[in-house]
Amino acid sequence: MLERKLVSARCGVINPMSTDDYLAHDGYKSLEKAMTLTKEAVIAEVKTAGLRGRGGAGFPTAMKMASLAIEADPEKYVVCNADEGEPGNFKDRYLLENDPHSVLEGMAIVGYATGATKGYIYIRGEYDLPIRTMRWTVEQAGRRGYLGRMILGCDFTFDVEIRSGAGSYVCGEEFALIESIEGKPGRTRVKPPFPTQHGIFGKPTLISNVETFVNIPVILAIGGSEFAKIGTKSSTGTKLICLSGNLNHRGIFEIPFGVPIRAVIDELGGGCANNRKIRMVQLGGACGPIIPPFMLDMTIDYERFEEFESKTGAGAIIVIDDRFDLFKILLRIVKFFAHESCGKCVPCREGNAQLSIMLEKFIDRRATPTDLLSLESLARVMHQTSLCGLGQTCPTSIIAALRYFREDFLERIEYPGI
Amino acid sequence: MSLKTILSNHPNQPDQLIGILLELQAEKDRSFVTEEEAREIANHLGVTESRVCAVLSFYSFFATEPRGKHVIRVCKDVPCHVVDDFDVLKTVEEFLGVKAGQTTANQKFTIETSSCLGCCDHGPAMRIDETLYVDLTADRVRAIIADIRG
Repeated sequence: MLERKLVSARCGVINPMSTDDYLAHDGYKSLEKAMTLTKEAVIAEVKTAGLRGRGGAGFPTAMKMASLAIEADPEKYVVCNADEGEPGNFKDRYLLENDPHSVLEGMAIVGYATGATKGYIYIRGEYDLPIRTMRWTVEQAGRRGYLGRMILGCDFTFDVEIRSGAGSYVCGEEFALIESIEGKPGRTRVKPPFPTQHGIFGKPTLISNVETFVNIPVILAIGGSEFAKIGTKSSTGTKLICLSGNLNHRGIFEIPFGVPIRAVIDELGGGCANNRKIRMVQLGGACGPIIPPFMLDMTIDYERFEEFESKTGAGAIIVIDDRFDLFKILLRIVKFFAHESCGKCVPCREGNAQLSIMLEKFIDRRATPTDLLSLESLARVMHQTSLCGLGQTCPTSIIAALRYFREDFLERIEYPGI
Repeated sequence: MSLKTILSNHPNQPDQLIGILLELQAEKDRSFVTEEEAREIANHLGVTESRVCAVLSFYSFFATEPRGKHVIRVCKDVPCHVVDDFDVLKTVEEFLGVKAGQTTANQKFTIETSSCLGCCDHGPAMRIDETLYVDLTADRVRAIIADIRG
């Protein structure tokens, strides 16, 4: 059995539209437990667990919580990033639709531990059902005394407001998300200062992914040290994996960190559909690397994924079979980013336009050796000089392809005079 | 609900702008925002008109030209693309006789493309107004649109 269900344990088991059902399955027990502990003890538990952000970047959650907790401002915010726009990812939708109270419970625990008084859940506008579900759930939790004033009879006030996006991928980037909550176009800011110092309305703000928040009640329930035993040394706990593309079984699967990608594809995904061969696999989403089949023995953990310098850890595995051309796939990805770039910084805004011109040359087999060098150099420049995560990670698929599919690039080049 | 009612339901704060615009568009038959409405919202929230226009042009959900009564958004990202054996977008375009970005002559449908809809395990997918349609086949696409057309 590859699967291990911790954060998705209630999904498909409880009726998401029944608060009683959630309570009957140990719902809000972790919040009750957290509130018997000191704030420092809650953060210490998360630190012992070794929890890292599940949105892809893998930043240690306890460190974020501690930086918010030390801020003296009486107004502080906790934001749940549910702007799941990364193609190939649908795990946050799964949690929001199937276990909505657990997101609120995680946020309330973080709010308690950090001294925040208000939470926002920013859900992408395309997610009609999760928005409706979460609005209903917030109201229910308020009625039952798990949100609002004097939670569980203690001196702890925490409200949650649902905000809808309006069709913008970049709003998943933390500063773009903050701008969007403030009612502006989602254009990122220069950091530092980081959100935990200067976030929404200039107030200290902690932003984390949906799956990260759902891990918090799990940690409180089983204890940080037990949690740390699951997975690998650098990546503790489990990960929701989104399998998509040319597979026999697509869907969401929860596995402990440390499982090889190939095992996930073959055993959970049932292998490539229609007995075809895998040509390439994209990890993490559009901003992730494209790797060839021979690399699929690599294991799923943050440390292993760090070599790609991207948000590979978000959990998407997109399998693409041998009917598809690498360059056409790369062009589709680049066009996605060209459309979603906010336009604030030059490398991202102009870079994606140039990348697509170069890729078209490779598709039409009219690329020159100089084009190969320019493509490589431009991808690197964009990665190193873009202002936010979108620009920095959008050339990841190209950088990885240049490394692992080098032959394909060379094969497409027109050599003058030959 | 009129714009006045929508505005009165929101606190007088600039951060309410996106929520107000979403509600306004949802109320309107042709899901777009006029110049007069943008001005009224700007005055109400105490922000400049250019700020409202910046938001309108930044987010793909908003439009300043009338759309059709129903907006069909077809996902064009990689996870849907690799399982789309019949070409959803082409099927929709041929069935309605207009291209992506255009509105049918009877003002009933506008076709748009969309970024990932977050249901890649059930692709190919499209979203019409606020409903998601997954596991599409060419016949299903035509049946869904025919059904909405009535």
